[in-house]
Amino acid sequence: MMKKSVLWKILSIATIVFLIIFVTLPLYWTFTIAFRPSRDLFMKRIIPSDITLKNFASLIFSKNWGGFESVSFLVPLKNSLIVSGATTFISVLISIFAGYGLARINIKRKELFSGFVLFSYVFPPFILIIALYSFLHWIKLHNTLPGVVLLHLIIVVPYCTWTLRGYFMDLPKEIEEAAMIDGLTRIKTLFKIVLPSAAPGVVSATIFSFTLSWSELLFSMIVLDSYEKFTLPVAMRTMVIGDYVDWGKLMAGVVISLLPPVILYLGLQRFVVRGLTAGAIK
Amino acid sequence: MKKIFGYFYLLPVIVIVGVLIIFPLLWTGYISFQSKQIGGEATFVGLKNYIDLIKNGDFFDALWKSIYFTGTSIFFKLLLGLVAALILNQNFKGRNIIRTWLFIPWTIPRFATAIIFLWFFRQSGGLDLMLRQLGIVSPYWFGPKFVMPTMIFVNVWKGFPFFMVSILAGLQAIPSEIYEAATVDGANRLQIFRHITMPLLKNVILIATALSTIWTISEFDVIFLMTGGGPGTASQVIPILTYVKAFRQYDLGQATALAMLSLPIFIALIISLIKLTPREGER
Repeated sequence: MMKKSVLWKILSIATIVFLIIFVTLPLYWTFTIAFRPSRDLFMKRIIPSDITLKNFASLIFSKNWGGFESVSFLVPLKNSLIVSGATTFISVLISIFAGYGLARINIKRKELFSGFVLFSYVFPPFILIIALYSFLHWIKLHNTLPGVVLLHLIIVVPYCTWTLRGYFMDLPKEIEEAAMIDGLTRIKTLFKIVLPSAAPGVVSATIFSFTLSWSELLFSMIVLDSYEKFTLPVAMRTMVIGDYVDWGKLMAGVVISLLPPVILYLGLQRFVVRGLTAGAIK
Repeated sequence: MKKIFGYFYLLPVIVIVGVLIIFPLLWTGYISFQSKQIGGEATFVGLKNYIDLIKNGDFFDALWKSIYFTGTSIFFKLLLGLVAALILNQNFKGRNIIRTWLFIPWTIPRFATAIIFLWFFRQSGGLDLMLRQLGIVSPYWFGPKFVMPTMIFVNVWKGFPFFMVSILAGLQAIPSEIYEAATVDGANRLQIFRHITMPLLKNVILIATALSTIWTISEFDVIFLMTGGGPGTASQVIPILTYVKAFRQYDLGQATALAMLSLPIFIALIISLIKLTPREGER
């Protein structure tokens, strides 16, 4: 018996060590390339010879991060912040109402509506790209940031609604009923009583919305044509399709792109699981 | 009147789903029976696009690659996720830090993941440089032979933490009394795992698998940025082929037909996901 449990322990430790290495190696390269002088790579060094912010500086201050257009890397960064910010604001607002409606209001065929929201949440975007490409041309939002925001709503709103619905459903009904008996309207109850108690849900919906929009490539790519409109993912793409790739700058760009979502997620780990599994697990 | 007012809460969502998903889906179906180039006029051709896709082998070629990519990825993601969750469910020092660290790949945006591995797997890239230290000559990871396993590796790296945290949450929802009772009754580790842990985890695993299957089979970003579907068509899964048909070959008819042909797969997956998801009152 004793021997067996020692064996299990060794096996567990070996597995965890393997997993840590598996996860860490690609990240090790990403960060060390971003922060090391580019001459290292020609010398095929694994350990950086020096630590420097040069790659970040040349990415941000030079104007040729990709292609030959003279647009600073700050432009896609700004565009991404605008798109993600707008998408998040609109989505969370819409989803507070929709999530509450699905959780609390008595309407016919609620199950069907809930099903539709879940359906839209997981519906693969690539099936829609051709229609949406034509649609955006038709409504003259092609190559505009509002066009990107509009398409991002397809991905973010159903997700947000579904998450908030779960949070609202878990709140005790009695407090709301008491508030409404005391004469508060439904809307006032929603904003004064329900939302404060569902604050963790609203926070996690906000963060998920932001990162979903921040990371989105396919829709942004079919909407945007010109460099000065590019969002971060589209800009990063132009950096890898050229003939010459400056890996130092590229990895500096990767680090800038991944830090916001990684920090946001890790800060809110507690809320992440429920959001991920569509509320199936508590 | 009051009854109808309830729908106003849902109105924006209904409009978004209707205008941006249902309507485009119907339009996609309509175009799939037309011959249409980007910017050109549409002419009705009946089932020609579908027949072409099936006859020239494009559809089944991409479908097979999608199934291979998705099936293998899901297998390894589930395996690594399950093992990691079972180990992390035990009490030991540093558990939270390790869990947080292993979760990181999931939080990295797909486009960034693609670029990270573009470096890692390229010649004279991260893996190659390290293998050389060990005296191993690495093959060309983006060549026709290794490109799919390479894509699967990246997908597993990015996706296994999702299984890990889902299963871990499922494990932590199992009351410890059940384990204690089983141990008192003399059950060994394997018996406990087979007869207690697995049945109680079944639903969590099924939901995570269904969700991840939908995401994996529609994976676009990573493959598109790393290979664009190449070399040749070696990594051209269905989402990539759809994009290539539409925006490289400008053949909207075939692209939409391809989207329609893959639609039943997603509908089936999504319906099974909805069926698995606990309803109101069952939570």
